[in-house]
Amino acid sequence: MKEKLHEQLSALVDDELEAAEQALLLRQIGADPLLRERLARYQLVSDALQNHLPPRLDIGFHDSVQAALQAEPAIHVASSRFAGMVKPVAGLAVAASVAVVAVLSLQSIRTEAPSSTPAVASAPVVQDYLRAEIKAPPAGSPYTPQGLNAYLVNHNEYAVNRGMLPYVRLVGHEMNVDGKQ
Amino acid sequence: MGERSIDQALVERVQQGDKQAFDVLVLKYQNKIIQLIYRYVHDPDEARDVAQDAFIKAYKAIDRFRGDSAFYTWIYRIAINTAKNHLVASARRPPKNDIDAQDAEQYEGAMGLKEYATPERLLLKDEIQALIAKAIDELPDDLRTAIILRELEGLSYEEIAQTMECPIGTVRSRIFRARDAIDTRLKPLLD
Repeated sequence: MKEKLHEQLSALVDDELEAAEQALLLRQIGADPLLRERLARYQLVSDALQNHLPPRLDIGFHDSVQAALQAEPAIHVASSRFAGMVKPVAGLAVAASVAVVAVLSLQSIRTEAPSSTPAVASAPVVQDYLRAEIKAPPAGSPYTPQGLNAYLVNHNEYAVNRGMLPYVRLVGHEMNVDGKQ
Repeated sequence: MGERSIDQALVERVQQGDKQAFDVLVLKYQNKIIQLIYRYVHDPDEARDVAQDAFIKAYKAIDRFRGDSAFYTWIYRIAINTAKNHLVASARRPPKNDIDAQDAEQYEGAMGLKEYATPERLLLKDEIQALIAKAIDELPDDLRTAIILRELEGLSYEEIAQTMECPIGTVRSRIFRARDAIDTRLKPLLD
C-alpha cells in the first residue's frame, strides 16, 4: 500500500499522475507530513539531475514559507465548476437590468405624456407657439396632406414590422374640419 | 499525464481554502525558483528571502490564477518581478539580459560554487549531486535507463515505454524504484 503511494508520489513529480489518482493522493499528502517529506526528496533528486538546484540548499525552506503563510487567511474562490458560468450570467444580468430600465422609462414617458401637455399648454409662451398658424404648402409641394399621410403610414408600418409597437408613439397629423392642417 | 495537470488540481484546492496544497506547489518549485532568483541577486541568503516573498505573493494572488498559462510560468513571472523589485529597492540594477520564464527552465547557470560556512540544514549542491550520481551508477540497468531517459532526456512515460519496449506501467514502476533507491542514499544526508 505504502509502495503504491510512493510510486504515485514519483509520478506526481513527473506530472504523470493519472487524473483518477490525484484527489486521493493530494488528500493523503495534506494529512501526512512524512509523505510530504518524501515528495520533497523525490523532487530534490529530480531537480538535482536537471541541474535546477540553487548553489546552497535550505531544506527547511518550505517550512518557513508555510510558517509565513500561517498568518494569511485561506483563499476561497467560487467553485471552478461554476467559474465558467460567471461571465454569461453576469452578462445576462446586465442585459436584464438594461431591459427593465428601458421598459420602466418608456412606461413613464407614456404615462407622463398626457399630463405634461396641459402644463405646457398653460404656459403663455407655448400657447403662442401652439397658436402659430401653419401655412398650407405651396402648390406642387410633396408636403401635401396626402403625401404626409403616406409617409406616416409607411413609418408606422415599419415600426410594427420591427415588433416595436408597444414602445413607439404613433405619429399622425390632424386636419381641421375645414381641411386646414 | 492526467487529463488535467496536477498543478491545476493543486491550484484549485488552494483556491478552495486548502493551504497544504500550496505547500505541495512550494515543494515542487522551491529549488527552481530559488535558483532563478539567485541569478538576479547573486547572494544565497537574499535569494532565499526573495523566493519566500515570491511564494507569498503568489499565494495572495492565486485567487486570480485562472489556468490560462501553466502554473510554473505564472510563478516564474512573479519570481522575476519580485527579484527585480528587490534589486530596485536595494538600489541595484536588474540584469540587462532578462531571463525569460521559458528559458529559465533550460538555463544552466555558470555559478561557481563557493564554500560557505553553512549551518546544519544548509547543504551544498555539489555534495547532493555527487551522492545522486553515485547512487545512479549503482542502479540495475533497466532502472538506470528509465530514470536517465526521464530526468536527463526529458522523455514522457509514453516515450520511454516506446524506447524501452515495455508497458507504461513498467516505466512508472522502474522510475519509482530508481528514485526510491536514490532516496535511501539521500535521506541520511538530509536528516
